[in-house]
Amino acid sequence: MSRRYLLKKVIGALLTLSGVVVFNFFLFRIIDRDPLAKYRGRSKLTLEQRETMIRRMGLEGSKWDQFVVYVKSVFRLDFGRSFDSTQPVLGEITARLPATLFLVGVSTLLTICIGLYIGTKAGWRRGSRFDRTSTSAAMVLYSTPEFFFGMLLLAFVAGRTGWFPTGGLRSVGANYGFVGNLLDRIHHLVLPVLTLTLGYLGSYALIMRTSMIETLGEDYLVTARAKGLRDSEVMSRHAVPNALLPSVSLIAISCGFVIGGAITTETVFSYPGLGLATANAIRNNDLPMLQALFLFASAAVILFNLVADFVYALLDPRVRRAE
Amino acid sequence: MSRRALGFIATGALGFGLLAAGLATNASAQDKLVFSVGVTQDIDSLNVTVGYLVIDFEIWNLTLPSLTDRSAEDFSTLPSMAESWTASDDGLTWRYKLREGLKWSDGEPMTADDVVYTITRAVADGWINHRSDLANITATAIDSRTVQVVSAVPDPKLPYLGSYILPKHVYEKISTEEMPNYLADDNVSGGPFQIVERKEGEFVRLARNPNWHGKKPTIDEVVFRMYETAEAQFNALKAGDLDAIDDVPVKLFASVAAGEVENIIGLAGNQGSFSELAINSGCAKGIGDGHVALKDRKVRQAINWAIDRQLLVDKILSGFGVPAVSLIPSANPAFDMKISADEAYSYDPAKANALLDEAGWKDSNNDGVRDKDGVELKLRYYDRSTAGATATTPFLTGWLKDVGIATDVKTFDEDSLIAEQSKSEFDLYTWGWTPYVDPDNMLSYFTTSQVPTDPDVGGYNDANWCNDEFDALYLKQNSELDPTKRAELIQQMHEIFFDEAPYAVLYKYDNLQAFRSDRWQNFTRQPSDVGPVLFSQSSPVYRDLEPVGTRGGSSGTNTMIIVIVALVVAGGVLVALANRRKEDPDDRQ
Repeated sequence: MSRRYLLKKVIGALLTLSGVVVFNFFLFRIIDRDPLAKYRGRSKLTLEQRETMIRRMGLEGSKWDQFVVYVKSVFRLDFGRSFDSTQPVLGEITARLPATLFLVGVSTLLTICIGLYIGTKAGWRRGSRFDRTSTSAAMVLYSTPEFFFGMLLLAFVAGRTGWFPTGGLRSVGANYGFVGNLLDRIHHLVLPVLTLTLGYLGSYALIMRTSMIETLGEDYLVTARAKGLRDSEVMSRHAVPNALLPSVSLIAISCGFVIGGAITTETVFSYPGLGLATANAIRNNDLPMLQALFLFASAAVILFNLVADFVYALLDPRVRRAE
Repeated sequence: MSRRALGFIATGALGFGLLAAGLATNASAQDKLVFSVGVTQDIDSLNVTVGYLVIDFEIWNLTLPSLTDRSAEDFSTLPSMAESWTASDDGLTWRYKLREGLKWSDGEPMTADDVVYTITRAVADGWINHRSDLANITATAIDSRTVQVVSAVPDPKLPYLGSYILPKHVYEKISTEEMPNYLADDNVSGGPFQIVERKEGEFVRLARNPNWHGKKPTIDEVVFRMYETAEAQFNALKAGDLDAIDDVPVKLFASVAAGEVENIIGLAGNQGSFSELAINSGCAKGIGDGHVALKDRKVRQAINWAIDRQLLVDKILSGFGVPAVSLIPSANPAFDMKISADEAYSYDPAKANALLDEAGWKDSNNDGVRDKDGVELKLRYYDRSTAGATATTPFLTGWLKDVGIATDVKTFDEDSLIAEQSKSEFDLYTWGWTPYVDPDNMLSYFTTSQVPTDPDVGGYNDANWCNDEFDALYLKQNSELDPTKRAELIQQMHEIFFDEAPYAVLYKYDNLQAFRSDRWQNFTRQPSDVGPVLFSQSSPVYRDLEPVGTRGGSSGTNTMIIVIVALVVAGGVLVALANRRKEDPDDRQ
């Protein structure tokens, strides 16, 4: 991989990131919602308390002054205090990060493995009964919003049978020891993971199937077969690696979204991760929280896209030669 | 991977799972009586100088002491920290005698010093949940068990003093500047329970406080668990993860009330919460631009006659509420307006039309909307984005249209709506109140001094309505120490409010709560028979709850059994996969 290619991609990513930083500032200030509405009116706070509040929130002075304060604090990773909990935003986010990484990480892994497997098999045996059923199923999964699966699972599996908890991260007030606690966490994770996996499975299966079918017509597959390789070898050594390329970007973007959390799924299952934090911050007009959450989520997507670019170049010589 | 390896892994996983499950079942076999309450609102802050949500108050009621308590029956004043009190002849000075041997949960003595410290600092620092009750009050410690309280004005609320008392030895270390950021994670309690564990956004767990001076609760622990949606919470109650929930959606509650859900009972509790359509009566000074027609009492009355309140109660509340015509000043129904059914506002469009005609608003240009001197009777209708409000709006705007009043509806979230109200730039707007026990606060909202004059400061008088007679009566009732005379004064205030019609009060609605009746009994309501069980004024239920049979409470679900089943299934799948590979001739050489 040429150094030039690398440099170009890194600079591109940095530019995008700074664009996001700027956009992020204005995004939450052009919305026609007064961030201080909660503290205005009905004498909730004394004038003095309100002024302290304004100062603390960096809402003093002109938009430009506020912008300078904002940029400085972003570089210091100081996102101020949540309007809601009055605690530092960074701490609030890092406290919720593991739960989200656990949930979205596990489900992304499952989605990728199962989705790619189904897509590969369906594409390889195009027109077979497996292809027909799996493709229709993938279409249904793809076109249904994931929170809908969540609500169904919640009402029928958790609510009716009681086999799985109806929400939360763990059992309250119970200590089962290290292993037991881990199992308890896994038990709470089953339905949310299932929801997310069902919700995103379809897109992987469909994309993988399409690119498999495109690969099927390639000359190198004919060559591979002519060399006398077994069918399974042709598939795993020659077809799959080439067909995987389009999925790489999809995987990278999904990994980026791991940080953003799963807003609707976390909401349905009252799962206290970053997605739920985002939903609550929107509901409560918690500007500092929102700003930081959006910044982290976009930074994660940019970072993983950069990684995808590198991986792409490593996997596909055509990409690095084009530079 | 070879079949043997797969089989090995599967067996290993199974063994591991069984072992873990065995350990876990042992560890969880505790016989604690836990009462789990589902809430759809997370705590904003446990710091009593910052928090303001209902859930915060429920936890403070369980963990913070006060000089006096309220009875569950009728809110009458009961001893709490104070075992007795005496008043001076003028009713301005009160002496409270504290119980002997009071202690905080950490073992520190709870004395008159704590009381004086809290009252003095709350007034000096303007704590939001203390300042209105303590506004005219100063406190001094006579000795370690005697507190003298002096009120600058005659105060009919005394001797009741329910302000939360904080442990001085904890709070004196926190500066005024640091106070807003204080997490209140000291967990020092002076109430029947103390916080033992909190996971933000997940749950708060409270255990009995061994140093609590009052009746020992039967339950060992109370857990408040956060749910994001009312439906999820209801499912959790059905599944047995919870014992009680609040805010049950009306349709679900109706099925519970009809006895269609096994083991669950619904209790519709009333503590005076009401919804209204506020009418901008145009009294805001220097700000605001309410519609000129609404300054006329007759137009406001016409709006009141145009509304079918009973239909709203039937359709919006599914019958869990009652129509109302005047403000509800107190959680105690004794302070409601006394009015006969034939005098009260009812659905009478003919009367509404007649009043509007009388006021000079007629449809001169035949466009279906009344007008006067070239001004159309078209009103800005600001709606709040809660489900109940948005469902009510089409009914109200429809009835107004029927009598020739056009509306232009805009919807806001609650915070933004208050900001709009503070500017007084609206004609009609939907809101609701839950009153305190003493009627004073609610009545004060409609005095002239509460009309907003500065959008940044706002005011509680959200109808921008002024009435000198009402103001005078307010001051009188506020210093009338004879309860009967005070009740008469309040009834007179009701009559003025009704006649002037700055509000179209729609209905008094119930708090819909549901409980596991197979596990618990003694659901104390406050006030008795009609009030709510959860989130009542002083939360007596947690001290009274009793399990049904030998053991109640939400036990840990059969977690481990499920995990074992899952592991067995996973193991089975692995073994099956391994076997299948063997049978596939294409893959085996």
